[in-house]
Amino acid sequence: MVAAMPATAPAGLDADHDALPAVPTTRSHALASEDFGEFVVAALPGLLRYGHALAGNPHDAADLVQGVLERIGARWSTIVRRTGDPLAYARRAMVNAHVSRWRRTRRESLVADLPDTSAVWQPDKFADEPLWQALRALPPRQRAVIVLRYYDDLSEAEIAHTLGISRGTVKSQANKAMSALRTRMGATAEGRGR
Amino acid sequence: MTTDERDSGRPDPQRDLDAELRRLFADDRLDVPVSRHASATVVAGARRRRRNRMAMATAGGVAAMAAIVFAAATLSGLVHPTDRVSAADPSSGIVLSTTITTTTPTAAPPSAQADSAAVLGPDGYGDLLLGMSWQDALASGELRQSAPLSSAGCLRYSVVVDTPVRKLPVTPTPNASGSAPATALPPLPVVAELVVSVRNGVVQVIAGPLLRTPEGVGVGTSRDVLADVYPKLVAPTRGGAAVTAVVANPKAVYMFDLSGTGVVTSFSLRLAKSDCLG
Repeated sequence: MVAAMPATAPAGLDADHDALPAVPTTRSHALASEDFGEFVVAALPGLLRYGHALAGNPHDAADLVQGVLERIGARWSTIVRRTGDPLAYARRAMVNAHVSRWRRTRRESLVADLPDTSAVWQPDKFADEPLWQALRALPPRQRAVIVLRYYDDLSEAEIAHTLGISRGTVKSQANKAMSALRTRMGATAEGRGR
Repeated sequence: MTTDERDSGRPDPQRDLDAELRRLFADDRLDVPVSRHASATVVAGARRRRRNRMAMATAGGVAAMAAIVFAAATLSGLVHPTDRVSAADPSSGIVLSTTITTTTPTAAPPSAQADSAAVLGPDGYGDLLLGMSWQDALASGELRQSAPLSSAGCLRYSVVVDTPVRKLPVTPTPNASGSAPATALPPLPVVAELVVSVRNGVVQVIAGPLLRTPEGVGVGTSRDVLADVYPKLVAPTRGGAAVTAVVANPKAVYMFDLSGTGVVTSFSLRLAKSDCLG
């Protein structure tokens, strides 16, 4: 079982690094790993936070981020050229991946791995946060609308564009979400009697 | 910590909720710590996908790449390596050669290979038992307070055990904002978390990834195996946890949180009914 980190970066990464041209050529399948690597280092913390807000737990957040970043990396030069803003593109891709994940076949989890490769385990930090639990209970698209509005501060039109839905749908999803949250929070406040 | 016990004369509940949501999304607890190999893992994964698309690698080349990616650590300490099993190589099956299989997809539950020190349930963890008084729990010497006494008379403790658990490769990592960790020493691994009621004692033991139920279920177990092992399992409603009674302890239940990919991310042993339990 490979529990330890490799002493150097994965084989192949270092070897190719020196051979890469500074600017990716159109013909070669060289990945501009320099730029992409720097992008990943800079973007990871923020994207993970975003993923955490979207997915409701750190596991799925890391899943989401890794999947999106790998796909972006595989087409890095194209994405940079076409969008000019790979970070915004990544966030949009994460939202859409999150919303559509329920329809995709889930990946086989074939083994329950021994946990000794994890770093220090942290218990659920939001266990005492009723609003967080209420958010997690929302269906994925409603939660995405809430995250886009209150985390990303997007307008209704921008949310519609990001999700590829109409403004009317955004409005109704938002209303449903807020109403559900309000109901839950009201119930929590009564039930707890703190 | 402020809750919603604010002035009830506030005329606009909508504005309250707006503000609460913004506050929540600005919370530090949203940070997800990653190992320092995370970006290398992602870059390697991107290369792998690109090469797969090129469809030029030989079978051996794909296997080597997949094994290397797998070996290159998980993205974050909280994610199991198995989550990285490649969706792009479903037919290769090669990645699995680097894992150790502890469960099978059949009805046979994972055997409790772990020694008794790593079992949670049916009564508790080691000498920390459900229902044990607060004072007795403290006297074990294994607790470190992790949340202050709440107004409802509840506390939380981390169970820290200075035993073989230490062999975990705890790598000091920069925290999410990039600064170095405050201490040079790796923190004591937390084996479990205790929820204690001042009145009723230990009411819940939340398992860390090292612990398993007596039936061998733990963090990382798939939903299918879970349902096999506990036929009376009550499936979660959206956002909730799967629950099952504990056979040998009529007062207790297990609760299992499942990730979007159908894998147990955390579980706990708790009293079926008590104060201090949400």
